[in-house]
Amino acid sequence: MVLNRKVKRTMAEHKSQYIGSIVLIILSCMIFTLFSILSANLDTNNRDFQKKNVQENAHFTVQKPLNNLESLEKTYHMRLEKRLSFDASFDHDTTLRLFSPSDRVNKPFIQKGHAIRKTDEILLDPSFAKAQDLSVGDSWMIGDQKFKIAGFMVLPDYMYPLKSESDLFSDSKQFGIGVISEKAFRQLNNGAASYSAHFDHNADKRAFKRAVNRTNRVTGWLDSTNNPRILFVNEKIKSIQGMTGSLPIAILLLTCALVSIVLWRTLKTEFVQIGTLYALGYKRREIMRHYLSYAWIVSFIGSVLGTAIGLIAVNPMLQFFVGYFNVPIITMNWNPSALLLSILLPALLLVPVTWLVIHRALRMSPLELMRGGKKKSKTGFLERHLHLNGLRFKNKFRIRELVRNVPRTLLMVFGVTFASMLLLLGFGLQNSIQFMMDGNRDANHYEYNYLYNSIKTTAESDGEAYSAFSFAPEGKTKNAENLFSVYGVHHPSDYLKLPDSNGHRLSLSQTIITRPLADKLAVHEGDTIKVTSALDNKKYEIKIDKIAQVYTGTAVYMPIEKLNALLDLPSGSHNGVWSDKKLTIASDQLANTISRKDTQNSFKAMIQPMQASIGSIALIAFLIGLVIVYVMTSLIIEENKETISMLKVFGYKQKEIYSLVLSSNTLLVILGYALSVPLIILSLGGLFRSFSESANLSFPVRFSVWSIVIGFVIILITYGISRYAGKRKISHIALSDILKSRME
Amino acid sequence: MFIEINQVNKTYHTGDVVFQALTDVDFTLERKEIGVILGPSGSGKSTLLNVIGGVDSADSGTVKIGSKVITGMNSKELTLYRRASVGFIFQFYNLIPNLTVEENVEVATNISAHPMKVDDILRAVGLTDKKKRFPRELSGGQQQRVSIARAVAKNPELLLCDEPTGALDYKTSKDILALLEKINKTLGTTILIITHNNAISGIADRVVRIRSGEITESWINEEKIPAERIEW
Repeated sequence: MVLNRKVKRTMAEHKSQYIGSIVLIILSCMIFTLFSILSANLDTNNRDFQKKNVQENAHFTVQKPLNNLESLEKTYHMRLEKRLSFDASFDHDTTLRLFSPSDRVNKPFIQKGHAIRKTDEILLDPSFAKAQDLSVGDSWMIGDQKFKIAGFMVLPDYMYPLKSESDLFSDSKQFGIGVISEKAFRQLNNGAASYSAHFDHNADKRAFKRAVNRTNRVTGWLDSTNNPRILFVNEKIKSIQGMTGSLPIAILLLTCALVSIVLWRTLKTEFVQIGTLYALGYKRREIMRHYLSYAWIVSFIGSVLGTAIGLIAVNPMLQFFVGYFNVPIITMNWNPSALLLSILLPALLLVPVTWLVIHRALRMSPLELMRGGKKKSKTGFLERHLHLNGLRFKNKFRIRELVRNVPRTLLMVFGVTFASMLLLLGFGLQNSIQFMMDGNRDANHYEYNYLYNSIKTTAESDGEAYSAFSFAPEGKTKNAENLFSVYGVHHPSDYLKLPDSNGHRLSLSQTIITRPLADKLAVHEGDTIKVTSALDNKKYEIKIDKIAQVYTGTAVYMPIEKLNALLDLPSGSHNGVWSDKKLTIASDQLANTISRKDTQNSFKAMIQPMQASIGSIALIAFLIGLVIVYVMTSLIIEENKETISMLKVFGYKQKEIYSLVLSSNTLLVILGYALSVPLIILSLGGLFRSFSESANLSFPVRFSVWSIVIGFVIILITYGISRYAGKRKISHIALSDILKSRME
Repeated sequence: MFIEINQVNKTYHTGDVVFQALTDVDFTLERKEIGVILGPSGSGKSTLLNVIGGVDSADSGTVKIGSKVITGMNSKELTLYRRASVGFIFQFYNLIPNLTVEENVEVATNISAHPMKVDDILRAVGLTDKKKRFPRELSGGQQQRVSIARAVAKNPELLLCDEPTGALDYKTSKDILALLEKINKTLGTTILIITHNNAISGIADRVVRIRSGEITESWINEEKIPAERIEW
């Protein structure tokens, strides 16, 4: 149809609006495709890996070695495997945790290379190898033995390779895991034993624990549901899945609203042409088909390009996440249904909206259309009731411009709010985590924290002894399965300083609960909590005196002698030491060691990729903001073309015209940004609350003034660029435009 | 002479097509006079008006308005010229739809060094009771009155009217012409009207007829008649 030649020309004429709409669709389809494939692959591969490689349900340590593994397995419907481990120094600052090979529970998945065949071979976790720049075939010394890298592997119980279970962030530069043969372990003459358990569906975990405690003593027990090395991966995948749904759809809806306004405006300028076509004998169907082609073209160019870019970005993004926590990609799933949805969804949203708009136009008679459509004869409520007397002309003009088209004004505000929220999301996360970490550093004053793998009764010559035992809350609490630690501490302590809500130091002669745990258990000062020991399933009651205003850790602190008495342990019992200097403790006595430096380094390591993702979110926010403001500005200029031309004829200077036409947007941008601040605080609060239910953290939402200022500056820059483009457009409007047109 | 146009030429180039819009045009008008340029569509009358108004430029020749020679002015100087000296009235009024009557007049007073009072002008054009209305709430004649009020508000030396009655009925057209006459008399504003309606030349002091870009006739109207008495 000859009419279709017009499509290209009309789009070229209003290219800013159409290109802007296409860019927004590209962005939303790109994010949709990227996150859909990413989350599908992470999720399915995570499940497959956990199942095929028999991820543990729990691991534990005991006072004496277990000798009857086979009979325990049969009796308690489980798989049980002993595993040796010790922390070797890789270099000055880096720890490599070595494990003996496992073939019943937590079987390693070989990602590259081959399994261990010789005593001098080692398997490494890929993120550690990458961070240390190691390749398969490289060799280096552990103690006085040389090891050669046979391959890279992932252990199902170390998917998020945290050095300590109480760590929050992993850092491959500081910590990694490796597997060496049992013979190599014996030669190194080192290693502490722990047991990995995988229970069948009908297994009785508690009965098993009771049985072990009858002849032995469980000194440490961690269920996989409380194991952050497993839990964090599952939570992260869940949050990515959440993002897959909401963010691209939100961008797409915004785009849909924007494009429908653009199409409606463009159509309005073509009423005379539509009327003429009608009068010439074109059918409604033919006219409808022609105008719908704008929506099809914009949707498909945007969705196909966006989906393609998303597909290209999948691999690097997947590598980034796989490097962050070790989910082996066993099979790549390209998720064809998500790809199809990504290509079709923009059209499915935009075409019906456009249809409605055209349908509305085509209800008019050819004559009405040829006269430029139904003249608006009524004055809007807002326009009618605005009393602008006393204001300067410039301001009256700007206010009238805002009120003239309320949907356009609202879309501009919401667009800026949305882009600003996206921008502030990154800043808010970073600021809040920084605040939380600073709070943690203020509470803990040790340089080294040693946790023994058994209970000691001999006094420590250096440092300050403490105890830490795991307990589960009783009754129907929100997270009944979540374990927390009860610490026995000396009072006063040189290494632990807990503040109350006013920042005053609490006396450690009392029983104190941390804020995250108090929130989780809904406990107030003076309440008594009922708990069960994770080690022997015995029940206890603990009266809480005070709540400490710290943001990390779910713990209860009480005087060490009080805890020993409660647990019926001999006086002086402890299982950990805090110290401000490095202590010489045999590694086979230790469950783990944490240094303050490790914590700080892992925090830095966690912040670095976060800064990268904040950067990319900020870039997307910048682009969205830019496109929305640019499209809206272009629309305002297009609609005011004749007014601008007339102002030029009257002798208005360029600067005065910019000020009249473009400055009304300044107010909207400021309003949009101002709205985004409380909204993002509310949204982050909700996000953090849900996060604190699954992790041992209580995130306070914090924004530094600088973040808000920087966010505002970025939004202003996007606005500045759009304004600059707008000025160019205005300067290109000819004076003669007004002499040829009829405005009202 | 207030307006002195000497040997003005204007050519438009559209691709390979060359269109001669004005050829050696000479035209003069005294201060405080009403001038009418008559001509059919495409005769070049609008081009001539635009050149005089500083909206378009001549390729050759000189255009002198008062003491200013506007040919050769750059765009900034032309802006200042239009701002200070010229008021425009358009065939289709070209009011800003989202501004009230009063605010539309303020569009002009806002940039004028010595503007008239908005209320005084609105009273003069008979629109005091309509000042809070929006253009869409007015008839064509009322809208053209607003357009005149806006053009006069900044107290220009020269009022340029492009087919001011082209979109109006007979009765309203006469009212508008009478209003222009009144402005000419009371304010002493020089008025130049372009039209294809021969009858309007009755109110003019000087008349030129233009065809295909050339002045074909030019005369001083000795038998000037008031607007109410002209017929067509």
